[in-house]
Amino acid sequence: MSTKKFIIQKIIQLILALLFVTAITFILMRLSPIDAAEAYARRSFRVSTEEIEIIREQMGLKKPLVIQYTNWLKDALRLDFGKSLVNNRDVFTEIVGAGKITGLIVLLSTVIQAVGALIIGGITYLTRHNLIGKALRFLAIAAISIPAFYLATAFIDIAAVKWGLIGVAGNTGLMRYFPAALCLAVGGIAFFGQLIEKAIDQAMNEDSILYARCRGLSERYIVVRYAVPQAVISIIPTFMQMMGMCMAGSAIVENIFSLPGLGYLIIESLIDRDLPIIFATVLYLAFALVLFNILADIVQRILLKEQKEGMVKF
Amino acid sequence: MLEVRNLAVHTLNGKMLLDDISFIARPGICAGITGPSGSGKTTLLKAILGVSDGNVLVNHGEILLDDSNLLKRSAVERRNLCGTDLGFIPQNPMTAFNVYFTIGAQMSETFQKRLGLCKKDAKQLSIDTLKKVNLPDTDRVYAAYPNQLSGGMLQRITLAVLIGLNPKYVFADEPTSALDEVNKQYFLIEQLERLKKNNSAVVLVSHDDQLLQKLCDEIIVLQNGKLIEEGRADMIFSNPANEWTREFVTLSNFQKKGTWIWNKSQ
Amino acid sequence: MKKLKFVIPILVVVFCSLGFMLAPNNPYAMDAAHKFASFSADYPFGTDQYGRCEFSRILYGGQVTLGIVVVGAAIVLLIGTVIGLFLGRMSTGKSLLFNSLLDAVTAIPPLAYLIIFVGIWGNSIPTMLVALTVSLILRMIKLSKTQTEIELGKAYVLCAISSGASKMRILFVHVLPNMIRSLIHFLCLSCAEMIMSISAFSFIGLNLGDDVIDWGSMLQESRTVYSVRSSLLYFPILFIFICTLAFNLIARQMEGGEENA
Repeated sequence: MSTKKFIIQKIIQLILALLFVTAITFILMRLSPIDAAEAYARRSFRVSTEEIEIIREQMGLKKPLVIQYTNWLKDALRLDFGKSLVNNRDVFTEIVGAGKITGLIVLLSTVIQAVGALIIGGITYLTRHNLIGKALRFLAIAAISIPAFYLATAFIDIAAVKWGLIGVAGNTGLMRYFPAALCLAVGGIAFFGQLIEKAIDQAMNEDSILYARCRGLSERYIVVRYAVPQAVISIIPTFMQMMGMCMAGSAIVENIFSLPGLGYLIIESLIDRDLPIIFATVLYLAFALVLFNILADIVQRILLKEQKEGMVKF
Repeated sequence: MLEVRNLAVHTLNGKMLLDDISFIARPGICAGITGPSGSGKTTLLKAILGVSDGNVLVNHGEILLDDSNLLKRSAVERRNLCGTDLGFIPQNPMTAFNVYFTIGAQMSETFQKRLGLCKKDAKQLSIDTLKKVNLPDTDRVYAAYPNQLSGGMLQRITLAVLIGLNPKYVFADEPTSALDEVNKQYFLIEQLERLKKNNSAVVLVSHDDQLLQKLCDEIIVLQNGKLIEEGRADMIFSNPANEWTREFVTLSNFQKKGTWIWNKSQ
Repeated sequence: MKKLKFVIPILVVVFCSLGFMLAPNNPYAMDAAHKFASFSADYPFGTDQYGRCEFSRILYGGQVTLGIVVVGAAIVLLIGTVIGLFLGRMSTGKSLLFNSLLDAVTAIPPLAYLIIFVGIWGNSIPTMLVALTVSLILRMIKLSKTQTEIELGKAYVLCAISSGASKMRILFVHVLPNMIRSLIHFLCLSCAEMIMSISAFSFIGLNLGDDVIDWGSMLQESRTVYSVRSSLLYFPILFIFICTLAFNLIARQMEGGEENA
């Protein structure tokens, strides 16, 4: 596939994904058993049927769905997502603010996962023939099976409340997001630790490693210098996809830690039926997810191409 | 002198790979190992060098290097013998180097780690040895990635590493299987002969009758992990005892008589 | 030994999803006299803050949580595989638009779809089932389609065609058995993820319904009385963990079997 075709395909993919997700949101909203206008009316204590009808008219909910959708799309292209129905704030600013927090959590979590997975994967590889390795492998599966939300509550219950170590809401700066990022990262560390161990093992069976051994280079040196970089390169695309998944996973953890990120915003606005925020958050989330996926594809493509030409540099 | 005595190798789940193998590699002598595919030739080399695969167990016999048993030594000690005492020439030069690093980096690091040279000296030695194996344009080769070079060039680089480390014993695992005729001639005549003259012991694993006949003084033949024939090279080629060896020799003679002889020896 | 590793997780899943039939007590029956009862023959896991039998509640919760996952997974496996098989056989593989659409919709993780569905429709068992099925079926179709395309390119298919096998026979008799392992592998991993997601939603307050018992909402309720009786918190989390682990172990067996085959 030529580079041009590749780029075109990726752009089409991005647009399609965004259209699909926003359209689904609109359709689901229409099919929803809960009426947004009614919900809004209740909040502003205007509960008579006529008043609800007026609100419905004002919100444009009476127009056909397709027209509502295209109108929204037109505004969205100008980054105008309207105002929140709850507090009348500008949706775009709200989302950017929340997005920053989620982004920080995801970024922090990614770093923790990368470092953790590398250490765990390396140790599992070095101990693969004895009991420690076997135990680590089982622990990895066990760690994947522990829900992040439970880790988060356990963290709050034990570390924060019982020991009084960390004021969950009080800390400032990065430390404020650290517990959330850590809870989010545990599953990923276990998952990517396993992947790294497998990839190292695979790399260590290559001809070039045999020759390196026959040159008398020590086993540890070979693992660190050759096998680990190769293993890391091979899982980079999967890792980048995971960063997208983290954004969704972050939604749950943010709620438990009461961090005002995207996930918190989306669940809050879903409970309040705050339509403009829902649509915009869904769009933002989908955009980020697909973007990470596409980035992963691009990185993979570059790596394959460079490997073919033997040009990857360190 | 390196002597293998009654060596037996099994996989972890009990499958026999080598059984009761004995042979001797002496300085200045080239010993050939041949046999059909899957007969355990490469397994034998790996066992001697101590780089066997993870699921392989070397569980019987002795490998004596100057009368001390290698199998009794620790993994680290054995690894320290690799390269500087027991040299190795890989089968497929195309996959012998790591594709993510330059040739120069891989050569220099070997010399740094194994000979204790500083960075500058290691680089100088790399360049010198590359020149010795008649690679033109050494600076370009030094900075190149393995995928940018041809199989013949890469095989010469493995020789350059060998020359730099200067081991007493050289183990070559089918060194010519990935080479064209010109490179083969060069490789064969100029290098392995020279090693022999320098009083190195050469152990050559090969299917190549021409290479075996030209270089080897002694030959052992393996089949299904067992030693089925051994003796002086000229004896084996003139008077093969075993069925497989007979067929091997007949085929080799047939090639010589045929009209499609390529430039064999001279 | 090999079989045991496979059978035990399946038994665990079956027990947790059908265990409600064995429940010793009515999970809804409140009994103010037996608040926070400790373990006994009548109440194997004790009782909660309303005097309800914790063991029965766990079993009924398993019926809900695992029921959604298992039913959803079965639907996904049946429909997704068949659609994927046919798509893989048709020449849609070359259609840029179609492929992009499939890539695009599967780029969004199932959890994000769950958030959208649950958020908009409110959480309930049918919503959860629909959301789970929709989010997984797209990925299943993609996986099954790609696998079919790979399998159809292999030599044995050519042999089957030349010996006169019909198109249906090739798809269902030759191709399907060769890819079923990786499909189940994917499905088991997804099931593990889904158990956690479903529990997560009820846990953060979007519960499945007022009277529905599920492990997530049990966790949430017991958290308020954590200091009085911490075991109430540990039972639901233990069962969530065991079931997730079971699915992960089945998935690993499927993966390992592939290497041996």
